Amino acid sequence: MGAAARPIPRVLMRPLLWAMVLIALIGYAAYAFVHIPTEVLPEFDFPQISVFVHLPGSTATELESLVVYPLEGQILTLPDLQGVRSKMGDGVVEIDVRFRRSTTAEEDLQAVNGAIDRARGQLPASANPLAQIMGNAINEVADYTVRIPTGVSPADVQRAVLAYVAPALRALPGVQFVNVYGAGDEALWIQPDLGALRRYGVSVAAIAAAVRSQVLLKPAGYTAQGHNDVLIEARHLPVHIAQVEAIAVPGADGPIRLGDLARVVREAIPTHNAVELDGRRSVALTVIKQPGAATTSVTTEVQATLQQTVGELPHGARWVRIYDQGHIVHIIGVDLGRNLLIGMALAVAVLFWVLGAGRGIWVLAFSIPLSLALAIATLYFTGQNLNLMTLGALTVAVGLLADDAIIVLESIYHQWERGEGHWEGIWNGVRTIVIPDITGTVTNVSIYVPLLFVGGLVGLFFIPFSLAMTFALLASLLVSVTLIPLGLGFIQARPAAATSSGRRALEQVRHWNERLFNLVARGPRLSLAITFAVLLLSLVGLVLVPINFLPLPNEGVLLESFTLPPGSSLLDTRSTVNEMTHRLLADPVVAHVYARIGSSAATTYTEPSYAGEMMVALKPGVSVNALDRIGQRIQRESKLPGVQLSVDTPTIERLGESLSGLPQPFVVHIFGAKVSEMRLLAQEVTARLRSIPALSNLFNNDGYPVTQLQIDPRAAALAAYGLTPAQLYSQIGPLLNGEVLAQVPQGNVPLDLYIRLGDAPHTSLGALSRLPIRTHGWTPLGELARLKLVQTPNQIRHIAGARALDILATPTGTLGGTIAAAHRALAGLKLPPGYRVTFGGLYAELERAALGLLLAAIAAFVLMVGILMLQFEGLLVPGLLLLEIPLAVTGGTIALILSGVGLNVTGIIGFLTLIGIGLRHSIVLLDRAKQNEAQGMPVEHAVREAIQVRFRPIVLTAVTAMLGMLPTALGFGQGAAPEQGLAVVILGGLAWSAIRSTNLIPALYLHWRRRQLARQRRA
Amino acid sequence: MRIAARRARDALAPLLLLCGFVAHARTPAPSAASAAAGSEAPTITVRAQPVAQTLRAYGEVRPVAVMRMSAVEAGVVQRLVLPGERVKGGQVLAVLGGPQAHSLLAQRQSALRAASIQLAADRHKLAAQLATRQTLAADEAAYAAARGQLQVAVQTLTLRAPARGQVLAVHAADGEQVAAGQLILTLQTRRPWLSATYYGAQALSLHPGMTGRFQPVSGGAIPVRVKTVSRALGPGGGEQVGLLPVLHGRRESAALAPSWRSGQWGTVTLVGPTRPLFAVPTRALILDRARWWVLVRTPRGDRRQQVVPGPTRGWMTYVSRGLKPGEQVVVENAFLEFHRGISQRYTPPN
Repeated sequence: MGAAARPIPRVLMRPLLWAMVLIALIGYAAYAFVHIPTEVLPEFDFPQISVFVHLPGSTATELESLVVYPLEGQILTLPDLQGVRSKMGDGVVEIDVRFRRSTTAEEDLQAVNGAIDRARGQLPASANPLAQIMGNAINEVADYTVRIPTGVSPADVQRAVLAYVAPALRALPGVQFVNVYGAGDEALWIQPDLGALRRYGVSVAAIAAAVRSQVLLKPAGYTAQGHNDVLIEARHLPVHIAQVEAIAVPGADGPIRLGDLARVVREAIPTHNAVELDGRRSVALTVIKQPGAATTSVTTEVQATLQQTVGELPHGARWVRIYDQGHIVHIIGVDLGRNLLIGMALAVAVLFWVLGAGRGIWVLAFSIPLSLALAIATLYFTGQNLNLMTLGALTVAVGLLADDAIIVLESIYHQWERGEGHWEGIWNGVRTIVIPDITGTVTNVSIYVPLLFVGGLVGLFFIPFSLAMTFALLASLLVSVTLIPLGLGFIQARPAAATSSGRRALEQVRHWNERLFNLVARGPRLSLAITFAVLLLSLVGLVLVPINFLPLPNEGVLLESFTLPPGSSLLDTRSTVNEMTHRLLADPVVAHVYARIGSSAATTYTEPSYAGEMMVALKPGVSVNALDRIGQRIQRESKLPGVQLSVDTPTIERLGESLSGLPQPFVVHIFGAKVSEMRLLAQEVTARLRSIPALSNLFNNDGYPVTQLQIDPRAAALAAYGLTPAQLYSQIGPLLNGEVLAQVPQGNVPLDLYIRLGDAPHTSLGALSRLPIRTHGWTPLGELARLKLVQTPNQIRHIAGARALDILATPTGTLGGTIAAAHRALAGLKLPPGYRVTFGGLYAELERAALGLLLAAIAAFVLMVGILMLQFEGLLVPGLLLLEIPLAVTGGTIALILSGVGLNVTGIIGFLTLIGIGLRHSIVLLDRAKQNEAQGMPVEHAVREAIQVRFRPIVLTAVTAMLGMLPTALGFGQGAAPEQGLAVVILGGLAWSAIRSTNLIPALYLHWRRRQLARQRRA
Repeated sequence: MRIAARRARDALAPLLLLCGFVAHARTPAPSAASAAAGSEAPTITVRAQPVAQTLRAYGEVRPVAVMRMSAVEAGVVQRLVLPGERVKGGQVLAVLGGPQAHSLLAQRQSALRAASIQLAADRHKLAAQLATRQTLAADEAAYAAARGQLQVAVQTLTLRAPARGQVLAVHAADGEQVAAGQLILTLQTRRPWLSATYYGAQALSLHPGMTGRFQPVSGGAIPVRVKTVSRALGPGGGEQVGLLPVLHGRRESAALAPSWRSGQWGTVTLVGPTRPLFAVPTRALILDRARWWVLVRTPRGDRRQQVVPGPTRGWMTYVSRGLKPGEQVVVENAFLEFHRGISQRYTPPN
């Protein structure tokens, strides 16, 4: 053995101490396992807050003046701001407030809520801003809708849900918001009769004032009576139609009954959005959970509560579940968890088969779940959860966790077989292997280090996967250098005889490998060339592999987003949606079609009334592999001219909504003061930019012209009648726009007193022009104001408070070249004073991120090479090992092509894992060869001996890892399906890596080492 | 030979059957081509048709004029008629009594008695040639004056209807003491007329003699004719138009009475000049970029055509400019077909 052995530290020989450490670790791991949440995707933590405000019926310029300016006035004063972007149009405002990365999302939300409170006094009464952390849309975990029987009004159903069901749901732990929408709020609707108003000389403003003055609920002091302080309440709350009709309205000749001036009905306030189930009006219920709350427990409680309260709905109304994220989380957790256990059991079984059933193998078997548990505990400690990314990483890692332990075990066994004492053999075995073990793990981990620096959406997926892999590998290393040697020592383990079949199988494989090595060693460079040729062919074959970036299981629902041309009427949109629903229901796999048109003011949806979503619930039994085909078929079936469609899954859509606050990749901003001027400029800029080949998919969405009817008071006419514009509006607004005059408490849900003409949306332009306005007599609106149809932009934006219109584009070249081409195209553009054109978007940030990633990758590469050079003293072995980087992907690619399974983001990350695995095997083998040479063996003998010794651990590592991934690679379980691509990549790559590292790499080493030695001898 | 021919025939039959079957199977189903043709949006062929302009306004039935009956002398009101009561010409509407009225009558009666006594005395003196003829003439004149004043007093203390009419409002009550000149009641003496106010360009096209109909809020429709057009602007800035019902007999007049009451209101629709317009279903019209359009089908495909829409009647709108006779206008799915290809110009935000 060379130098005298160092004494074994006594602290290592204390079983009680290490047993206590082990129990403590297992205890914490068990606690973490129970408490770690399971979700679909990692938690968002962007320091960006989105503020939503709904003011239905408002144009972009009205929203700007009434809502955006007051809110921005407060928000722009907040500290740590990085950017404020506002978008307004179609009755919706969205303000995205980005803070510096050094802040936390919760603190930022508090700051924005404070700003909203300060601005509230300047906002219209009906505007209710809602702020939430960007990414909250992914917390929409349950969508239900009501099947309403014929004869039951949706408003009645909505009122029942609001009064009895929603409060019960809000009380559930983990529930953040419960949104109910589909019908408007129930109201006593006062529909003025224009003829009667004129006949009796009463203006609508007088009606509004009379109604408001009738609603009274106020304290009137108290009186001491009979030893009691009795509170006095003054109350007059009209809640019945007869009470409202009896209200006296002052007229020219005395008070007049409101019932003689207007029709009063109990109906829902009309809304500019709709919800339908299978083509019939419906009411929707959406539950959004608290960030960090467990999805499955929230959705289970929601379902139970809905079942308990179904009796509160009108007779015959029933809930239909449309979307349940808990279901996906459950199947992901169950299926991936089950596959993990099966894989673990298979791996342990092979170990027993090949290595025998000795005590040492039990320690080895125990090291796998312990490493997994420590990895989960570390994830929990660092605030991560179990999701598709981390579970995917753990699925890969479960097979690799035995790797370190097997290597250490083999090394110890080898010392014992050489006659070393029990503890001396353990100590020397560990000392011999610890450096290559650590090197192998560190080089493996360093592959994932660059991923930790990727920000944005990509980082959302890469970072949790990298962390899970890193923690698992480090846990495995820790366990291999602690539990294995200490366990073997304390339980007095000895190498056991392998099973005869296992031994024979291994020997047969070893024999085949030796023959293959002999063949490769005869022509190593030719073998390398053939390997590269196979790599190139496999890369070409990748075009046959379908790619879906995001991994998601079959949710049993497809989501079809639709958009009609901007400005389309709600009537036309509903008619179009009904047509599409009718066609989809004829498809044999479709169970239900739920449609949401527009966005209710009670939600944070932002679709205008000409857009929305249809959730197509599929019948049970549809396989995940058929989803793409079904999605394409659905899109074909619902195709209509002028309607833009896209099909996806609900969770992908939630993810998209979560990220909707991020800027587009490449944007051209037009800044200016006048909207009409900016619109014309945007048109000209778009026309010029279309000529640039470096820009494609150019869209001037903001400037898309929609039609607006402007009521422009004639100053002279108003002056002649002594009216001000505000007085004119006080008569127009309630008639055409409608107004909630008062709210009257009635049970759990207040009743609105609402005024509006019954058929206001169906008023023709001629009838609008004849709308009677109270002046000295009566004057039609057309005499007092100009009514004209004008074009106006679909929406406008503010960037840091400045008005802008955005033009979107996709650059096809480098950012610098694209911007230069754009500057040339806009060279002659005449901009009025105060107007400017700039370029922006996430593209620059993405380029910087890509550059950062490249630098991090180079740094990791240099680090890896440095470590290898330090270990192997020279460039030959590091140079050989670097061949692993391109060659590693071959096996995974071929496996994907042959299996027909698609590739997604976890599969792409899987290729990185293959590089690490290949490096590891080769490091361990070449290290043995170098040690043999150092002991004086001839190089060929040294290499063959290294193959002989390292063959079993390499094969065992590969086989256990492959078996660990086998259930997922075969597609067991719907929840595990998204990881199938990853498992197939690893499976194929492992087999290829085992062959490569026991044949090609040592053959190449032998070849070049001989040449190196020959050069040294000549020198 | 005969058997061979029969065998050949027997063999041929199934062969022919098979050929027919194959031919049928190879006949293309009416799928792609005809389905495509069937799915083409239906169109209509536009033709110019005379369409009368309709002029709508708020109308109210009002009295042409009202007569305000006031007390000439002070007195206590008695036997006052009721509001809304229909009265004949000469009918007593109210009587003034009370001490002041009696005093006036007594005064006038005693003046008459005195004049009568004086006259009789002077006649006696004339016979005795103690009085002159001039004195007698003066006495006779005084007597006549006193008698006239008594008659005037009696008449002024009785209010009578000057003509047939209807009591619109009473402004006093039985037993009330009224002063001279105080308003007692308001009387409408002529059939009310329909007053409508028109504004702007509509008013310029009005003239007496135009016909139309009045739809009171209580229901029904009454044919009317324009009687007068005032060319002075009213308080609301409009021109007042007076209309009367078009009646064809007493029976019709009687049937009209419930609807043609003072205060009845409704909508007046007058028929204006006729002009040639093109009728298209309203759903064929598309509003885009503040302009109105239709899709016109041509052999080279559907073409956008800007139009100027006019009045709407029911499901049809009449286009005044932009169309030519014989053009085919797309009706079904016109709006979506108009925006076919929108994905080139607009992308959904997602």
